[in-house]
Amino acid sequence: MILRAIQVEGWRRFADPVTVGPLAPGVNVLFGLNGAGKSTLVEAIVRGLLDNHLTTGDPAEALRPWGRDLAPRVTIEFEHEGHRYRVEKQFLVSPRSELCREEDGQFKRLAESRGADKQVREMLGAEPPSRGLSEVKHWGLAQVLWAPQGSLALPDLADTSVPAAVHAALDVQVSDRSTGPVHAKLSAAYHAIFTRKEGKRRTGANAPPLAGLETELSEKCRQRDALDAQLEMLDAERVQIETLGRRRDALAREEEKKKAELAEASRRAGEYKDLKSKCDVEKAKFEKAALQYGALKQTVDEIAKRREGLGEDQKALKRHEDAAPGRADELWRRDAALAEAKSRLDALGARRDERRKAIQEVELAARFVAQRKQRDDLDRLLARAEEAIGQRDEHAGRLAALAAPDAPRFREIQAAHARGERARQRLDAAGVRVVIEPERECEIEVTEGTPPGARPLRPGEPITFLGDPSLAFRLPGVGAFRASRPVDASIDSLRSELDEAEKQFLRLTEGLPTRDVAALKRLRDQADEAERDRRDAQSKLDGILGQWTVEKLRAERDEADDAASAILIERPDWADSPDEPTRLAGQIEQARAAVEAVESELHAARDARDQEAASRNDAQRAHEQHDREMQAIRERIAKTDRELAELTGDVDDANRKSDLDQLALTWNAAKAQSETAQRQLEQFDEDPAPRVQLLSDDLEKLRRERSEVEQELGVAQGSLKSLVAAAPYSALNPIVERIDRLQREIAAERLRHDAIRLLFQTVEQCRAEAVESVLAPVQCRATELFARIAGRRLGEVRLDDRSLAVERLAIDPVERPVELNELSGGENEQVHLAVRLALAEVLAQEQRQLVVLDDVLTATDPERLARIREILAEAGQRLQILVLTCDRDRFESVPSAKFFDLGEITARR
Amino acid sequence: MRLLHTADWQIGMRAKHVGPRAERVRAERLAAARRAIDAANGQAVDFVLVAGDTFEDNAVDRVLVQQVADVLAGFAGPVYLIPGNHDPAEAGSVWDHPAWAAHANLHVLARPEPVDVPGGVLYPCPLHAKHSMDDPTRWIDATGEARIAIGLAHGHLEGIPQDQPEHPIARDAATRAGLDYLALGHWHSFKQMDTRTVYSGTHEPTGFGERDSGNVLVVEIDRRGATPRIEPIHTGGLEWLSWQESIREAGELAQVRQRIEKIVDHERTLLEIVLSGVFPAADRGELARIEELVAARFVAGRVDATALRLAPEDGAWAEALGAGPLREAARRLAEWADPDFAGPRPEGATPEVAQRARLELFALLDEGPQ
Repeated sequence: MILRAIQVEGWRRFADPVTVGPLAPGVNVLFGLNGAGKSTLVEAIVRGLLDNHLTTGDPAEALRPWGRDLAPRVTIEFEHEGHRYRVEKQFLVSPRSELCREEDGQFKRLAESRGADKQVREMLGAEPPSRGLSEVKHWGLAQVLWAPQGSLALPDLADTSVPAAVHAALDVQVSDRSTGPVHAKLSAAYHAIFTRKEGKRRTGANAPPLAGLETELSEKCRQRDALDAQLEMLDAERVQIETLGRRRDALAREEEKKKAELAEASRRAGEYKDLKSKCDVEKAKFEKAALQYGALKQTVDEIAKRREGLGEDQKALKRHEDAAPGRADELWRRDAALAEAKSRLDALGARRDERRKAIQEVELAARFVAQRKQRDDLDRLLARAEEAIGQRDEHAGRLAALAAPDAPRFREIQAAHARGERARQRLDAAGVRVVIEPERECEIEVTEGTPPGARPLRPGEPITFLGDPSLAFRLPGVGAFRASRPVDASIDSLRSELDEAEKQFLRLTEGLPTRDVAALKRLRDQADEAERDRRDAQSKLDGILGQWTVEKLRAERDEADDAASAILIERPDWADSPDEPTRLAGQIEQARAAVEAVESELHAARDARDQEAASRNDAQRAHEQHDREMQAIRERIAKTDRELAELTGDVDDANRKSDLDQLALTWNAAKAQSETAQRQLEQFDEDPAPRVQLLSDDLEKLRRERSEVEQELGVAQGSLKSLVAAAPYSALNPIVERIDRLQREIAAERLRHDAIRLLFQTVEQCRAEAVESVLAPVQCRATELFARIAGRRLGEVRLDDRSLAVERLAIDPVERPVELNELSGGENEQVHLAVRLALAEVLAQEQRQLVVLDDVLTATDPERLARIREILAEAGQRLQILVLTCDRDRFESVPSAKFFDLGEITARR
Repeated sequence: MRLLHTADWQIGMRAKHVGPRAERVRAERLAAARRAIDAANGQAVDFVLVAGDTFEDNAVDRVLVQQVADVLAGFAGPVYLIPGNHDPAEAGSVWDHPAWAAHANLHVLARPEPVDVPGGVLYPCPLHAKHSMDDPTRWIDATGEARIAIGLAHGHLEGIPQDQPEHPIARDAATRAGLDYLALGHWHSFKQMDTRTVYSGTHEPTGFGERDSGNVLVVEIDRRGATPRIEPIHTGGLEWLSWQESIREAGELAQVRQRIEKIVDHERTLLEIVLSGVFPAADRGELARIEELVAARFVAGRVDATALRLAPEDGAWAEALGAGPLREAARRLAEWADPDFAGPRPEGATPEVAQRARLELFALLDEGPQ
């Protein structure tokens, strides 16, 4: 595609129609100052060729001239694949789009609205934006051909259709045109089976028939396995039935054998039972005879034993009866000894009472002496205390008579007095004071001050006058005098302080015998002396009393006196002989010793009595025991007599012995019979009865087992019948046959798939190798162009096959590659220009293509720019190049270039 | 004594190699059974002997059992059957079916004991298991028998090659046991081992590669010790053809196709063709035509062309592509299609796959642009 003309109207700075054209098929240079609208024209080309005319929103609104409510409109005439077209688009207001093709010298409408948008986009391989205006990534081939303002570097083309388009363009050169449809069919055949991205076999609705065959095969295999399982079950049931049948027969045989064993065992068990019964009878006879003999023998033995015991008892009774008188004597002697011990004890008790009475007398005397002594001691103490009390009270009375202020009050009086004196002195000092020491008599008249009035002055009698705040007097014949102090407010406060001190002094000295402080001081000193004396007397009293009080001492003294008086009432004789109690009190230790001696004897006598009493009790108990034993012997003799009578009965000893001998004979005969039967029984090893039971149990068990086996057999036969009725083999036939057919069909189909994949991949590999072999010349062309621009070879340009991005510059095999970010800004834009031109040449194989360079190469120096101009002139033979620049001079010398002055075009409008 | 000897009816047989026509093959076996009984009636034999494997399996549909019993009951005289290794007398076998007792002339001989038959004595050797290494005829001793003694057994006669012989029968069983005729079953082709020991073969062919199958035998024995006269009567309904064709030259596939077209009775024919060798690309149309004919015309058919390859030297069609990826791909595929190619192969590029890929490429080119 190449442009022929472009007209814009109502478009950013172009409010009025502006037309650029007709453009040359080669190099076109559109120049103008900054802001002239060069990039606006490029934008109009993009929107006119690539964007939806119905686009709205802020980006579309921005197309309008600022402050005007116009409809942006662009008309582009262009050539594509040998035809001339015109597209007109109006945005925002009454939006419309129309594509016309020139036919017979006239543009005829080809498509409109969205259809027009779409057709034009497809010519450039562009894609519609999802919303809003298109971005570079939507531009299709124009991404390579058109360099936006100042940006020669290619965008990331990895995920766009551009690389494929470039490859396709390159492929044209390496493939025979006649094989294209073959490859298309191969591709269609391959992609009918395999996915495009991962090359996996398709699934779901688009899956090849093989998937259906495999699904059916899987289902048939499942059915086959189920029927195979039934057949296996059938075989298993047959084996089970045969096994059970054999088991049942074996059990039946075992059962018959067991029955025979049981019959034999039952016969022997009957025989054993009879013998056992006979054995029991003989044994019973034997045991009965033994019992009878034993009973009689026991009676005989009992009679003998009783008779022997009776003799012994009779001897013992005789011994007890002989010992009875001695035991009575012994008891009498013990009673006498006990009475004597008691008598001695009583005598000692009487002596102890006497001794106790004597010591009570002595103790009373001692108590009387003590009470009397205590009373006398207390009387002496009380006398001393009362003396001290008298002294103390005397000093206290003296103190009270002095009428002196107490010490704190006196200190307050002194303080008040001192404060008044200080106030007075300061008041005197503050006022006017005149001391006149007359040398002769005269008169003075005080007109202001104190003492006021007239008074005579006499020599030798100085007189003082005071005035406050001034003192005025007149000395007749001399003159009038006035003295004043400076006005000072503190005089009042001093006076007030003085009054206060005086009032306090008067209050404190109220009631005192004098207000003379010195007299009061003397009174105070006398009072202090009296107080010291009083305290000394009190200390003396406290020393006498200690913790006691006078009252308590008196009460104590009275109590002792009362106690002594009470004893005297009991012993009035001691009042007459006061020494007697003292004497008696001195005997108290002896009296106590005497009482203790009697107590000791009394204790020994009590022990002797207790011992005698115990001996007497022992004798008493022995006597009573002896009596009880005699009684018991007598009772035993009576009992033995009764028992003997019962045992002997009416039979005498001779008959009893005869009976015993007869029973012994009978017993021996029964014993022989029993032993004979026992020996016969012992012929059997054991009782056959348990074996009979065991065999019966075994037989029952066999019957049960056979019944169970037959039951199982019935179940298995029923199951087999059901399985056979299902005829699994016949049911399996069509399934196995279908599986075999499916497997063959699947194998054939898989072979076909594998073959198509191998064919496709091989062809793709060959194509890729071919494309790679062609991309190399593109790299060579870019390398060559870059070398021409630089004036020397800087390295080989390497492109990424997938994204077409410039990977690096391979400088030399021995040096490391140069990354793009290592190039200068000028070289960077130059290498991208070389790549764009090389790719544009590839894309222009079929038809001439438009290359747009909007304000690029700004970092290129003049020398290299001159070489670029030559290259552009050469490229203009195959490409249409639209250069937009603000500096015409930079491209002035491009041969055969057509120049458009945008400023002039705008002014011409 | 005239008797009809048949065996190996294999009713309910599986025919997985015949594709969707398996039911037809199965039905044909029952039809052949009717023809056998018709032959027995037509030949006025005294009785019929069925020497085992009447059924393919004991688990076949019971309807088939009833049908076979009804067919056999159509014979005017007695029919004697023994269980074979495919239908042994085991629990739940076809022989438990009430159909056998319902027809008075049918005698299932499940015990090895002599049975009087018209004109002589029959010594049956029934099998009770699918697998056994016991000789089922060992019990027979007819040496003292004055009447014509016939043995009826199913098994593998010693001396016939087989990997795992089952139910082996001594080669001289008939002589040893004093039999006038030992009617055998197990082998599907008619085979007379000696004058008295005979396999009748199956009454209807069971697959490709069988020789002389599809017969019943009418046996006539004049007296005790006389040599039996044996007359095969064809009862088979289907023709099983198997061709092995080696292709070497251009045009040979066309010859094969022409031979196929000459088969007239294709409604009764099953055809298997195994092709090998090499063929020129230009003959690919003949191959496709053969496949179509075989699939469409016959009862069942199959073409195995896995051993048939495009001629490696036939590169003219690839050369016509001109230089480019397709011609290069064709060249590589031709290399990989050669089993003797020793160079590296991509994954999956077996000679078979590569060969098929060449055919696919050729087909795409042959279709031309569309």
